[in-house]
Amino acid sequence: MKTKKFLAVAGLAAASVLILSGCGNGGAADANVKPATSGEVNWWGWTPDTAVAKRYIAEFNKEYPDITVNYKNFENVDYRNTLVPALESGKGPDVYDLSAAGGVPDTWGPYAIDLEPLAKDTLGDDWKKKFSAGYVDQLTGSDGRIVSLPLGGMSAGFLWYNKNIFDEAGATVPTDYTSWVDACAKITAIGKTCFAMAAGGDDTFPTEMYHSIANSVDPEFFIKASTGKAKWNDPAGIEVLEIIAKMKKDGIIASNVLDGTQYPQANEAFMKGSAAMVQMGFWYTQYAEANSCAASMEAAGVANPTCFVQLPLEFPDVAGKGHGSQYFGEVDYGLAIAEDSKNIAASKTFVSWMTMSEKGQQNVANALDLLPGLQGVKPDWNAISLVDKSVQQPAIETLIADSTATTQTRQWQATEKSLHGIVVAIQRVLDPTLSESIPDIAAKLQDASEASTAGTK
Amino acid sequence: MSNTSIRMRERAAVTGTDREQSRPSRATGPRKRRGASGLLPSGFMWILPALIISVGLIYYSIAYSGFLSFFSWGGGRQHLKPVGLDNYTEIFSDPVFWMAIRNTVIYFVVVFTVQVIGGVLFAAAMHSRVIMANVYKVIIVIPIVVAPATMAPAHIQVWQSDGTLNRILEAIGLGDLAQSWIGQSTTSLLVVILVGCWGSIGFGFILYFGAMTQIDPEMLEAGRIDGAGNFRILFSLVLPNVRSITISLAILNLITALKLFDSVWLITQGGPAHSSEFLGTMIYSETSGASRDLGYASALSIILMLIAVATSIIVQRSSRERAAARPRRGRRAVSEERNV
Amino acid sequence: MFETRTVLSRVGLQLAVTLGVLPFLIPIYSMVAKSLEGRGWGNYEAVLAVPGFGRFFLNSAIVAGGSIIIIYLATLAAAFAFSKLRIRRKEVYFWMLMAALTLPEVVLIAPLYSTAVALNLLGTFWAVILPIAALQIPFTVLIARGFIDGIPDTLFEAARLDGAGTWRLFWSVLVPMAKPIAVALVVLVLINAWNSYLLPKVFLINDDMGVVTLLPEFFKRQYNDDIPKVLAAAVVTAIPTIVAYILLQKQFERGMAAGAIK
Repeated sequence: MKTKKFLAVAGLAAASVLILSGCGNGGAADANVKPATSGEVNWWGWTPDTAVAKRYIAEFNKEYPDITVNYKNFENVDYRNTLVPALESGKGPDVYDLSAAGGVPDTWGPYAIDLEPLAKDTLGDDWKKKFSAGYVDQLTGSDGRIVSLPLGGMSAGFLWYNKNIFDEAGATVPTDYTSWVDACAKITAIGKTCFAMAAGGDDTFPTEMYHSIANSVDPEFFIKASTGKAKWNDPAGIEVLEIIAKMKKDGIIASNVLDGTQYPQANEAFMKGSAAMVQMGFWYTQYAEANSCAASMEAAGVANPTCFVQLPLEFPDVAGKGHGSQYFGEVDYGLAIAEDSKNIAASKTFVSWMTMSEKGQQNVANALDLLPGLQGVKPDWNAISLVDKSVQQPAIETLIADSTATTQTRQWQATEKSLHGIVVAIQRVLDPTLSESIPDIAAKLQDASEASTAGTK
Repeated sequence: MSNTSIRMRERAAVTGTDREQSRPSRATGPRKRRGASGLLPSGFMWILPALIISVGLIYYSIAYSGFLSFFSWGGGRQHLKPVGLDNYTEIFSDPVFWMAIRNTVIYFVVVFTVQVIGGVLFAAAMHSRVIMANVYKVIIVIPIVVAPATMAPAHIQVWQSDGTLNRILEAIGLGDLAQSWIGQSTTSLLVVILVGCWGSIGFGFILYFGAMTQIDPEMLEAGRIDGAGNFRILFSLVLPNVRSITISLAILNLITALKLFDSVWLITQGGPAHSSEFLGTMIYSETSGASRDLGYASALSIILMLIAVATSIIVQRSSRERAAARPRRGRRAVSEERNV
Repeated sequence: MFETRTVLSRVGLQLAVTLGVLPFLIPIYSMVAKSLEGRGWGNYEAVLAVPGFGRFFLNSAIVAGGSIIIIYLATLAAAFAFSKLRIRRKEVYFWMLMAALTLPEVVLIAPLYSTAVALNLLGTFWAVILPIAALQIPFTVLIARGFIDGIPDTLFEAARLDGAGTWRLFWSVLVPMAKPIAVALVVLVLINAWNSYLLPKVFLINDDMGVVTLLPEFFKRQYNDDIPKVLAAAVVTAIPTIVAYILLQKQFERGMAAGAIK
């Protein structure tokens, strides 16, 4: 009987903690307070890396020396698991990262103040148009509140190649399926890996490759299937998986493809200079810069690295329909201000400087890892030392222009279930110890998927 | 209970020492205790600190998870949508769940067996005359000292297609066996299990090494006089005497296998195509996704907890019954009575 | 334990043990070798140069020390009571304790966070020490109970006949007798507390409260981690635990030789 009593007490304690944690916003500042030039801001995020954030903050402090910004970086999953209880308790961060994916604006958005008045005050009534197309909408809650302002975006749907390896092998960059196979033959002949790819595990990275191939098969298929307007086992979906199987058979995809995940496996192979091509998105541009290139080669285990020249490459026309893949992209993340924050005034100054000032956005552009959220900000090439400026600068300028112009979203309109379904389907195709037919695999993908409603209203 | 000590004395008696005479006879042992139990001081106050810390802190989490498991919830201020038992029925109809259960059973059986045999052998060897025993001890214990998460890149290094293992195989002329160990549905679980064995023998070693000090050297001597060899002594005399450790390890391994997460996650992430999935990795990927359902993850955790507690109780009960049944039939009733 | 009377059998045992530990060395070798890639010993210099390096070790020592003291006392007391004292519905309490061991850490974070806030422990070492203790105690009690079961009741009965109270029994009979298993427990708790990552990460929110497991973070980036330095950091963090293990083991063996146990 003691037990019963004890359980009752435990239940009561549990309930009281739930209640206690529900009302933690005593002493918070007013959301309408004007931006201030002094104070302290605690900023939490999974991105940027601490070193990059410190650079941003140092620049910010040149203008606002009396605002102290403390940045705390979390690994992605730790962040998701920590942020909500922290915000719920009222003792969380003042400013926090918010992504567009998977309904996050509705999960974390309700803890944030509406930033529309701040944006209007800073950029004028047509403030929305000053950001890249779609970025603000992707970060808006379903109740229409602007819960965060975009810091930057990204794009994908293309490859990166190591120019030095291509030159050494006497290969030309592939534009379609046959030229890809030819290039691979020449590259493997000099003892290098042709195309670094890792599709093991649970990581949704391989969906980028699926998406690119799908765009080559039918530019509308991926978004249609994601939003339930087409089936993943329609002929186009089956064709995509068949192309992947063929790429393995013809040696474009290496036999160790399921050993690991894109990071670290494929990244390491490319950065070591042992693979000629890799599929990565816009964030990879940062390694065209001499210092980050050397650092990441060292991180891949190269002693005294000499940087190679890496360049973006259009996704080859693998389906033979006259086009490769168009780029797909969306906002990467935005900054939100917690409504329970005691430092809303200083936080407003920081967030507007980061997202809406020319100088703050210039920092983002110069880091070459994100497309700046504010339109018209371009990297300051004089402040950036590329490995080989003459070829890399024009290529990156084109990449930025095409990325900014893209109209297709990357993962925003796909549910987590569909993305995971794609990963498992690719693994079923590539696993040499499984022998399922491709239509069966595609049918299973359709069963595992879930249509998204994002962007369809 | 003092089954072990009693059995120890019984063994000693069987093998012919006269130690037994100097202690109270074994027949009076249990009866005496039973009669005295009314006089024993109450121990409730003594377990209170442990209860307050563990039960007090964790039961809120259990209640919270139990509550959430009947909802669909993305976290934060998203609407808590009541779904009744849907999370549970969805789990039981999910083939990935059954794959995880199958993997858990295989993992448990193999890792537990290897841990017990390896742990006992090493502990016995370290209790023997071995030169540089300290060096060996350190090597055996390093795998449990280093966090599994930090070891993962090294394991990948060993098992990947161009990794250490395949190179060793090629060097000794078994190149045909070289394969993509991590990247095949048929071998990924094997990698996870062997990494598990590697990381848990040291744990068995530490516990058995400590427990073996309880064994009476005279009993071993008696066994030797009877002509038993080293292994015979180890497995028929020593192992039964450290039974409590073996049972604890069984329970712990069971719970570890059910919760298994970091080494799997960092090596195979449950893949390829869910072939090395465990409950722990399922829960993790459910809480880690952008569009996560914490209700579903909670239901998985509750199922995990129920399986863990139920099977642990069965393990302990059955081992106790076996222990009681073996030396003497009559003791069974007594030991059960004592433990209620 | 193994009897080796002849030279041959001694060599045989030595050889068998040597072969037995070889598979242990392969991943350890891979780890150390990989930690020397890139900048070689420079990786270790980079780890030592992380700002607040010493502070991290101190903080980890605080967390580990606090956990060990709490767990050691709570465990021995509870195991003593479960094994040698009278408790009604003993097994119910025991399994209530064991159930606390079964929830995965990721699931615990959110409820533990609100508990920490409610008890006003956020940003104090208690917010980490108490959950670590809560998660370790069930298992340490299980182990210790098994061991104490093996200590003959007659010893306690004799002491009680001499007029010793429960308190005396605990300190003068149980604590010395349980020394071998206590060493094992201390080592296990030390390892777990020292290696705990998620709890300190989430609950020690102040910058000067970082622990050693956060060291590799300095070399991890959102996209590509500096794996050689991450592994160098792992090697450096593991050293104190290994040293502690050797020292404890030595002391414990000395104690045995002096006849404190038998």
